[in-house]
Amino acid sequence: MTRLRDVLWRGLQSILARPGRAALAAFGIGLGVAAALQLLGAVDTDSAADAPRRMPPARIHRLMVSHGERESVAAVWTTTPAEAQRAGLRAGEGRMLADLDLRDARRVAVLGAGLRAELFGFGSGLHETIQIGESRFSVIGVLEPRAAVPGSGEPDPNRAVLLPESVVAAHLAHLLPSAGAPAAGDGRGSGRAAPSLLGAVAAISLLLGGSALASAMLATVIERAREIALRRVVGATRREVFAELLLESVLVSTLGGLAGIAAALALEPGVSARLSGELVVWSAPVALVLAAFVGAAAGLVPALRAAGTDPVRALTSD
Amino acid sequence: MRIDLDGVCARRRAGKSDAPVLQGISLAVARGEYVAVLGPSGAGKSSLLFVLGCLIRPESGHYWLDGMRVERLSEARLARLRGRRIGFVFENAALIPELSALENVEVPLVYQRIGSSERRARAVGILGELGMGPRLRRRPGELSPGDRQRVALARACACGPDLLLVDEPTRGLDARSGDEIMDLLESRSALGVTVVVATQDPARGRRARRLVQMRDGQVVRELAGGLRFGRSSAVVRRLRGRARRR
Repeated sequence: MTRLRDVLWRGLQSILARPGRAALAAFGIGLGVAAALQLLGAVDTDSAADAPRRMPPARIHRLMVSHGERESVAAVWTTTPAEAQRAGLRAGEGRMLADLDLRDARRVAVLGAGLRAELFGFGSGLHETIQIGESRFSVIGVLEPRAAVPGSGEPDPNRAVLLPESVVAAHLAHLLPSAGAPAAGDGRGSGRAAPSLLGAVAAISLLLGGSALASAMLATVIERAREIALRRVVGATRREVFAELLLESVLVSTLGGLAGIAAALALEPGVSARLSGELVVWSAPVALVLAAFVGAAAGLVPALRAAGTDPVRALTSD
Repeated sequence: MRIDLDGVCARRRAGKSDAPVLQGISLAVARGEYVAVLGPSGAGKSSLLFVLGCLIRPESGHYWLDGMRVERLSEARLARLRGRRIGFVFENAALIPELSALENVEVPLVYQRIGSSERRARAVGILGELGMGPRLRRRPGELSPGDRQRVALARACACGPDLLLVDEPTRGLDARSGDEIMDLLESRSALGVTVVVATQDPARGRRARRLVQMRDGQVVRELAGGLRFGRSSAVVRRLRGRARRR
């Protein structure tokens, strides 16, 4: 594929000749890709379960919890024993969730100490039942008091309810906004970006990056009209000119996408952990393909215009 | 290549004007012939070259190139034809400014799908032939106008064309480099390449074996050039002398 290499090389030269313009377009696309990566990570909850962290936002839902006449809004976290342990939560009274609870999808709950006081006053609450939506859960334990990690956006463990993750489908599914797209925090002290927000950021920056790229490519086509005409004179067909410009556009956006992936990886321990879930192995290729697709879409009109160049007119106008 | 034009009319769109530029040109050029097209600016010389180079389709009339009916060929076929058999040299050299001399000469070879090592070898060879050996890596901006024109000629010759179309090759050059370019063109014609040169400068035109005088998109007069003129015989003497030295 000597031609492909030539075209890529020429595209690279053209980019390097005007780095600012390409960088602007690549920046937008990179931003879009970085946001898209975060989005993909947020949707992928399986991998989120493997990561050490505090109470992850992905499966925490603000729901009404009641006991008799008393009720309160709590952070309901559907989880596993291992995950709760990693989050540093321990039972102060009663017991924690156990693997059997998970396996058998038992309707059991572990309450935060503050929530227990709200629902049961001075009672211990153990072996009592609480109601979430239509379902009743038996209280098997109360968490040791632990402060929320400041600045992490983590909900207050004192006001949490831990349920075995396996009960969600049977008992809570109707209360949740929709499966796979967990609710965002309630906004109060929650620094987490919701997947829908990330999706909007990704879409908007890809759109902006794409249009910046389209206009940059159009400017390139106009600037290089003589060169394109010359290539037609020395034997390039319209189709070849079209393919060259389209490939150049894809090249810029893919480079932008790579930069976006690099940025997302660099930010991962800091910002992105707070934004949402993990980076997933397959999300990088998906994001690259997305970037390339945006590049192709952005390059379409400029490439068509380049292919339509009238060599005589381009060469004789000064 | 053999050229036959029969009553060719052509228009050129530039901005909003859409003026007829060729009005019934009939011309036959044999293989290996060296023809100069003379005439004032606006006479249609460049347009004639564009038609000959398959860049403007005749509006009416017929154009045969080695027996092929050019007006019936598709855009893609014409592009291939240009790439393989026709070389253009423009007035201002029209090199790609970001590319080195060597890379400029390689451009046509890229579209012939020639591998990079052979491409390089060919480009180095032809540039060397034209005396550009020591300046392969220079960009057009770092070259003298005469050298730029040499690179343009090298590019036109890179694919081994059968037809060279040359538009005002010596404008803006000093007398010496102008003469050198004309010598190089003559040497190409001696190799069997059909050469058509458009020029406003009758002194340069006279070096051709045949002169075509144009005015207002028409051929007004044909003359035999070549040995009749003193200047040209000087050139021939010089060429002979060079051949003897070799």
